[in-house]
Amino acid sequence: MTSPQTQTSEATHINDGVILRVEDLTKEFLVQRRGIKRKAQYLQAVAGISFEVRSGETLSLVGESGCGKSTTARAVLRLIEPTSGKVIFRMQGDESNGATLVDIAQASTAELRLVRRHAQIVFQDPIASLNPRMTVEAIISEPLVAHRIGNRKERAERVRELLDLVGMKSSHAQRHPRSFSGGQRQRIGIARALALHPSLIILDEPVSALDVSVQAQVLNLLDDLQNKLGLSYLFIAHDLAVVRHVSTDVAVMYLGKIVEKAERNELFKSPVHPYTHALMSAVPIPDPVIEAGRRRIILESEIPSAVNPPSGCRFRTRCPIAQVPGPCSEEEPELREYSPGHMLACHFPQPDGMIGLTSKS
Amino acid sequence: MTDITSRGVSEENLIALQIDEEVEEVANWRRNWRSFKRNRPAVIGLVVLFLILAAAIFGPMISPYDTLTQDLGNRLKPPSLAHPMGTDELGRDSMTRILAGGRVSLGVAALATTVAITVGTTIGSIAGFYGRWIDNVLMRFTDLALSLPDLFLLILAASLLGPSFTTMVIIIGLVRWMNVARLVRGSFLTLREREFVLSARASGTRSRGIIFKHLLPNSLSPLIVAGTLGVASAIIAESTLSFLGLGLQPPASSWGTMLRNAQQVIFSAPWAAVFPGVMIFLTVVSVNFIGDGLRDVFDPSGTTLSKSRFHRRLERLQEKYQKPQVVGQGNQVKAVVPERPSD
Ligand SMILES: Nc1ncnc2c1ncn2[C@@H]1O[C@H](COP(=O)(O)OP(=O)(O)OP(=O)(O)O)[C@@H](O)[C@H]1O
Ligand code: SF4
Ligand SMILES: [Mg+2]
Repeated sequence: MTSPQTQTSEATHINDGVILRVEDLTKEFLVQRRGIKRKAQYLQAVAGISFEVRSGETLSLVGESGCGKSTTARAVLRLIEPTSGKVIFRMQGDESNGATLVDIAQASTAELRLVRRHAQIVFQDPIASLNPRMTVEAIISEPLVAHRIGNRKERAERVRELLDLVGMKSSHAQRHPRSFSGGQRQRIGIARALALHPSLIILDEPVSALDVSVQAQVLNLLDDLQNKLGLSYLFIAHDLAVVRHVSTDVAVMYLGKIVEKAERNELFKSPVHPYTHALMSAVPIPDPVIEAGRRRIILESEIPSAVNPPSGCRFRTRCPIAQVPGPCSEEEPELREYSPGHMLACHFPQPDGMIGLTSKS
Repeated sequence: MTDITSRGVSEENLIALQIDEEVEEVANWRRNWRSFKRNRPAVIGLVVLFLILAAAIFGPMISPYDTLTQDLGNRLKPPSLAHPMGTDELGRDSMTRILAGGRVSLGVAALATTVAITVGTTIGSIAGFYGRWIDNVLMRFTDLALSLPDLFLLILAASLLGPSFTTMVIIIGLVRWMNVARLVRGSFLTLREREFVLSARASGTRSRGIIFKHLLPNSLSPLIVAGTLGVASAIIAESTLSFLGLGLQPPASSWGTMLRNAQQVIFSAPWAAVFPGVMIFLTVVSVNFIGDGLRDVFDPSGTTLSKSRFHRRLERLQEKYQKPQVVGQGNQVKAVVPERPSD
């Protein structure tokens, strides 16, 4: 990698070894009330988040359903238009001209097409993400066709290679997606994402829809591929159990914001945010004795609406230790460095666990 | 890498491996056919339509009579062995003329439906794909076209353009595209948010590829149903125009023109009106039954076309007041305007 040249007009900088840097990304959806009086309202699905994915590593983004994970994934690749923020991506060039930096959020259509050779996405729903009317070969070679790579024969060859790479048979190429199981479909989706030799893959809950037994296989596959091809992952999941084995860093997201972010071992060993504690308490521990003695933190009530998020800390309506009225409802906690490399957004950090404060077991 | 498969050969993998590729493709058609066959009226409709088509195509060839040769000594004879449907006011064999007229009626209907589907699909695709103001403009235009009475449009256009086979096709086609346009638009609007379409975008596929590879092929089922039902309404439109004297001019004839000619002799020679009328009726009913059968196969929930005027009106109202989608779960549900993917 030589010195990066800036492609977008505004000078952008990211540290060496970082492939994706998201700065203050927001996405608002226009929401309309039904009824006689229509009122335009905005739903802030992603409320200013920043993170970095380093080359060859995996950043996991974890949070419960509806917290804005898929929206983040889609906005990063400009599949939906971000409302504001920067998405700086280091595009691997060929040997002659090193890497270039592109702000995906500002990229032109032509630049975007280029970006999409290097950054790909795998979706959550293995049924909805494959066109039911196309053969596996047509699905996997679609990116090649879109970028006019190779002739028909070369593409068929590449499809066979990719099928082999994801652990499927080349005889599967002429079938339609419906003849495959969920796990196999997800492999097909992964093969498609790999077709253009990308350097970054966004995995939007790649295993959430799969049986537990199949989840492990697909996670192993992703791990193998990362080692083999030097891929960088932005891995999205809704529970911590799934990301434990695949992540380098973990960011916990709640209602459009990142509330805690740390290196994987650090986060699992010493979580600090009450919400992370709650998520952590749902992760089963392999030791049955410890597991039996553990208490679950059950979060009461639903995740609040992102149209009218709570004042102050967004988690305060469900936080077991919230001080309301008080700092939690008056001042929004900022994401700050809590200890070296460990970011936290909470007025009352809980480094020693929250056992005394848990509700039901 | 193969160790991944061997490690992961679970039951689900094995089951999928056993399904043979050709069998699977065929099975789908076979399944559709089987469910179509369960619908008695649809099957009868298919048989009747097939017979009518065959008779119209081959009948005039094997008939001993010519469609134009007059036999003035044999005018308006009732049905007999020599003339199973009688003769017309110029002594021509009615059956031969009805079968030949069927070619015209069915030909106009088929071509007009093709025009309607082409125009409707184009407009619906553009509206559904580009959305926003383009969608608004095109759909208001479609609503406008829908709100004008068909017959008024037909008569206006026919008198402006003058009668001929081609103008009939164009006129009827241009009056019948609206439903197709709305159908295709609706289908595009839902499909374009689907993950396989997003994924195609993420792969760098351009708009043309998205439309022709993803959106259109997945909108085919409602189109087939709409097309079939459209043929029936085109037959009626053709007959109506011809009956009003705005269709084909003599000596060319279709079922509609024959009905028109029979008017004058309706009491003295009722068979002259009955047979073309029966043909129109049989064809339209058959096609409608087939269309209903196809709808049951492709679209069991019945969202494709309204079954009655009431439903149609209801649909129109719903479309007007409920453009946003519903997202979220539980008590978090909200009506939401679909987001346009960029580029
Ligand atoms: N097109 C849209 N228009 C309006 N609101 C939307 C749209 N897409 C998503 N949302 C809202 O944005 C919020 C975040 O949605 P998102 O799909 O990003 O959540 P998620 O974290 O991926 O959840 P899940 O785990 O269920 O996939 C939700 O409240 C959702 O209702
Ligand atoms: S800031 Fe207050 S409400 Fe928010 S997580 Fe911390 S303690 Fe709970
Ligand atoms: Mg999601």
